[in-house]
Amino acid sequence: MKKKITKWYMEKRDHDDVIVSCRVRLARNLSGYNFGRMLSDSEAQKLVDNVRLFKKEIEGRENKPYYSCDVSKLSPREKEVLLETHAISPDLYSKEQATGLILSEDESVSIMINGRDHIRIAAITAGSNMKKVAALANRVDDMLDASFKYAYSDKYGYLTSSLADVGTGLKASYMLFLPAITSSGRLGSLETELARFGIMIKGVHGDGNKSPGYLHRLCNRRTIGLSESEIFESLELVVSQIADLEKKQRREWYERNRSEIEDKVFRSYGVLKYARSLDLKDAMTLLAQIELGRFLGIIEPADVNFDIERLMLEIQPAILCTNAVTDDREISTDKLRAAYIRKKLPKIKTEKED
Amino acid sequence: MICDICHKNKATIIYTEVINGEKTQRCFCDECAALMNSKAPGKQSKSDLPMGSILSGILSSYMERYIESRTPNKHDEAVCPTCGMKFSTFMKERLLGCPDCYGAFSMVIEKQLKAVQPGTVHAGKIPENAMIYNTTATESTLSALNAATDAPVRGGKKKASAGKTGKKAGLASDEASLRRQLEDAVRKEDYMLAAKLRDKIKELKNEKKDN
Ligand SMILES: [Zn+2]
Ligand SMILES: [Zn+2]
Repeated sequence: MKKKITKWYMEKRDHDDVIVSCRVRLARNLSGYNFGRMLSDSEAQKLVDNVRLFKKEIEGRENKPYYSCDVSKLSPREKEVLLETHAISPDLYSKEQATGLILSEDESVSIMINGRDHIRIAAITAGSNMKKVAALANRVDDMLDASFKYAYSDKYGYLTSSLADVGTGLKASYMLFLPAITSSGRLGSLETELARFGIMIKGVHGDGNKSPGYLHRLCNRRTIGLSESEIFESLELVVSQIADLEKKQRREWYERNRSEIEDKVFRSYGVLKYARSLDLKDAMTLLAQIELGRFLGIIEPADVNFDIERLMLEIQPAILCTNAVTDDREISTDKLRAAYIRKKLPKIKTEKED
Repeated sequence: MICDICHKNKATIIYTEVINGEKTQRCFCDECAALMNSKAPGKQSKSDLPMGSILSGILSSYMERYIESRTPNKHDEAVCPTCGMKFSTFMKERLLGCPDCYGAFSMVIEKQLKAVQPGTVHAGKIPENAMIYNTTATESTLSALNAATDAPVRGGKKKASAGKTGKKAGLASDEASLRRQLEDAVRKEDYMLAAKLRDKIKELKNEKKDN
């Protein structure tokens, strides 16, 4: 992980105004081991060692190098970085027992070992391409199926430690940028409406509906009684409707509050450009304003490839400190963050003059 | 008193709620309370249910005591034969201990899935090489049924004496057919009927021993 490799979140993407990333997760358990709740420490270590052998197998099949480790033996900082880039889940991060990870070089495919389930396959991509990640996760699942004995029943499908995952073991999620829907206060009613379709939406990098970057994760709650393609189709339908609504509301919102929104966008740019200390919440909120301003045509970054979502990820504390090159050991994370943003924030190409 | 939810069963739980100084009394039967409790953690909108999260918290602690009280002896409690997961632990933590837990606690699992999922039968991908587990009702399912529905007060004694007065005439009398009916009742999730049938099977066995 030390070489410069293009990670999934650094890849050039077709910019999508609403869909930030897509992720597919499959929960699988192996026959012959108890589930996490009843798994002994020695069995846990055996499970991790055994599944980690799959690294060789997948490298051979995919003809690409993979990284593998005992997550439980990493330093807290290393674990935090993996958590912030979504390579591991909070479950795996906080578990005391032996846990393992197999990760593709670009970090788009991760196989988590002994989290809430024996194996959790996750595939992620920037922008909107759920089909691609679904196919990727499915391929890894087929390979694991050939190498290990999954626990399965004709009635309940893939057997998982929680009833919230049983059946397909599939959780497909979209990360959505929803400033207008959030600001209009309609997220609550959207949440209730979606619940009826078995779909869940919640803020990320914050608590409840208060997501500082207006980022929200939407995923299926239902896992059994539907096929994988039915789950994907229903999500896709819902997401495309939300995206249309969000874009329409952004424009309407702008029409009504033109000068106020313009002021807010330029102010945010000014603070990001010149602040000397920025906490994560402030930085996320301000960057979200820039993204909104770009969508509404208020400001245009001189660098067309400027990727705000990527910057949002890079200013997370552990990633930031790992990437920082500084001689000053006493420097605070907030100061580092402000300096990093100053360096990365592009000039604005056109400024509208009233 | 009749249950506020189903308007059918006898209420066994009475809950007094004070909202803005107004006292309201709510009554639930065992089944409705258990069902609400199983829905509570995942529910989306508080307004969907007649009561707030405070009540569901009270109910869940009530349910723990309820399950404990319905499990007279620790060694009588249903336990997964493979991993040793206890029925009460499963009900409390909502986590299974191993693949065989699905068979061991199948009748409760069916009910819980029904509350939150569109179906209870897998309709997705089928693996090539998996170990196939049998997750339908097993002997331990029936003992779980025992643990969940047998109150310590109404033990076998009263029923047995009622049986001896000859009131069982007209009911299916051979054990095999009773067992078939029991299986059917469990499949249809008619646990009241299942409990009755199970008592009858017990009775029949006791009678055989006596003769
Ligand atoms: Zn009732
Ligand atoms: Zn078990």
